[in-house]
Amino acid sequence: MNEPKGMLPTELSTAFPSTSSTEISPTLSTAYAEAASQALGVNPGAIAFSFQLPRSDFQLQVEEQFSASGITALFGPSGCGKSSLLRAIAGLEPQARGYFRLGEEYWHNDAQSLCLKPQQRPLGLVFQQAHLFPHLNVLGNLQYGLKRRGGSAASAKISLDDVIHWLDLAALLKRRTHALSGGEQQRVAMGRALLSQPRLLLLDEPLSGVDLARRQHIMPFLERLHRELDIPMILVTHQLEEVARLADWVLQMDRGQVLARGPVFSMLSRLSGQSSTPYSVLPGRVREWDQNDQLTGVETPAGLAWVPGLQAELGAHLRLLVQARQVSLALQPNPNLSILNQWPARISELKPQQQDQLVGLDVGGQTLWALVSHRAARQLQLREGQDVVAMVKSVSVLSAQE
Amino acid sequence: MLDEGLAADWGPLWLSVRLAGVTTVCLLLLALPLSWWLAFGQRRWTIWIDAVVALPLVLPPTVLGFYLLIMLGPSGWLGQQWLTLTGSSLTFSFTGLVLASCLYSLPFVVQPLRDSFAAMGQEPMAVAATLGAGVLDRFFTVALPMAYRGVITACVLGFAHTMGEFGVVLMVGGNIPGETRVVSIAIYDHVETLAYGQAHQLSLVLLVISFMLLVPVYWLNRGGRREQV
Repeated sequence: MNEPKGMLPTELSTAFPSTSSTEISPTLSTAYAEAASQALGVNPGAIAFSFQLPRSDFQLQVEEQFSASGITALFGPSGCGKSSLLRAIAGLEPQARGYFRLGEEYWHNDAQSLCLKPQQRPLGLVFQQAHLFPHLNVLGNLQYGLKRRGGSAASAKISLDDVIHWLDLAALLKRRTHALSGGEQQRVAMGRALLSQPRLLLLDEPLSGVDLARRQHIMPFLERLHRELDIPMILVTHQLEEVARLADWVLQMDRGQVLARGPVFSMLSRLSGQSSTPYSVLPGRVREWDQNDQLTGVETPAGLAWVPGLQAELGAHLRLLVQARQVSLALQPNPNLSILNQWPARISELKPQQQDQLVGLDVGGQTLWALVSHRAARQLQLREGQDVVAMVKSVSVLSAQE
Repeated sequence: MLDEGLAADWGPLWLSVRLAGVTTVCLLLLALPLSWWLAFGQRRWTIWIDAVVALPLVLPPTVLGFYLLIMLGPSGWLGQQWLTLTGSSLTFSFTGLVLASCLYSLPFVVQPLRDSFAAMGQEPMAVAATLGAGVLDRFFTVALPMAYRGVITACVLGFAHTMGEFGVVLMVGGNIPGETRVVSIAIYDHVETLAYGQAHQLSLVLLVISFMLLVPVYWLNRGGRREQV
């Protein structure tokens, strides 16, 4: 790869004049640098693109580069151009100008008058609606792309059996598509896309047409794909929860532009810091299991987190969710409290809100939000750069990653 | 007496069936791409063509037949070309009738196709493209099977409507046995010569055929509506 591997998102962002609200704080950019070089180091390929596409009420104008591994989330409000960008990548927007490159291979490059047709691009696209072919049964739908791109059944990298197993489709194969529930339809659509042997998987809000209860059933399937497959995915979503559970890299979009980009944990801190119920997500790895107290010790950048009742394999990667409301601050560690998770932290940011003081804490390079009352903030004389102890009352597990 | 009359009328009946069959095949070849374009093309162009296609629905057959007669006649531009190419005239010939019928039955074939393509939307074709299917591949494996109701409806209506046409045929084709004397013309002749018995028989045959053709169409489209609920 002749790609500048260490190219930082912050450097990329200088290509765009960003507004002050999207500027990246110095502490976060260090975390970006680490995660970016880490991410690019794992897989020496990158996805790079630039697109200009006029829409009715705005112009899509993006230029991005990120690692061709893991899940990249396009996050933003409805109608901000996320789906248009995905369609441009798939070659479904003939008016899009620019380029797209996966690794060293260009699929679209106006500089060379190159623009592959959608059927020539080895990618899978799962739309918001499943769009199953009603004249074929589930098996027929699954085989549609496999027949055209799979080569001989033996040479296909992703086999029918694998997909049926991953997505739990065995019982559905003979069914007609209109008899399936929304969640089942989306699973079939995902399987159909996977079987076309994609080298890039595009997911356009695959869970939006599915009700909340069923979403909880599908999310594990997506996590499983993330685990089992070495195919980069781009996930369009406006649900922060999906970003938190699935994404590795996040592009925040609005009105056709990318406002901010970065690894998931720091981006989540930024995004949830703007919401009414801020929270933090920390990466973790299961280190020990205390049989007597029924507690699991999870190693995080912030320190060891004790999570009650979690049964997970030692060494498993997890994402931990910490609500800002569940984090208190102390000036000293306090062994006389019932709170087990007491982590050293440094105040990196103070964001006064109407009722509370939102405090951004730097814990081992990650951001942890704490909500304290204005009076408590005054009494403790909190200021930026101050060393404190984060008292975390409860931690929950967001997902099992690996 | 009855059997003799019917035997004499086999000719016009068979000619009508042949005309309707050839016309339907020609129309389908023309209407499939045209309907696709009308369903998904740019609105500012399609509205004009939509209106042109619908003209035979509202114009009297005599108007259409009159223009066709002029155009297909030995001095009309199409008739002249045809005459120099083949040495025969387009008017008062089977080929001329096929051309006229294609125009006359066009809306009956185009509109069901266009509507079922539009109802399908472009997404299934986009999905098929991302699954590796080329343009013709996805047209035949996705668009046609998904729009099968429209295709069947178009074929039946095109066929039945051509079977039943009269005015245009009279203007362009005349009344040449074995060439342009179709069943509707034969019925008209029988009535003119007060051969009501034969007129009755032929009319009844046409009525039954038309009815038998239309029932499956409505059965098909009713089933469709129920399925969508």
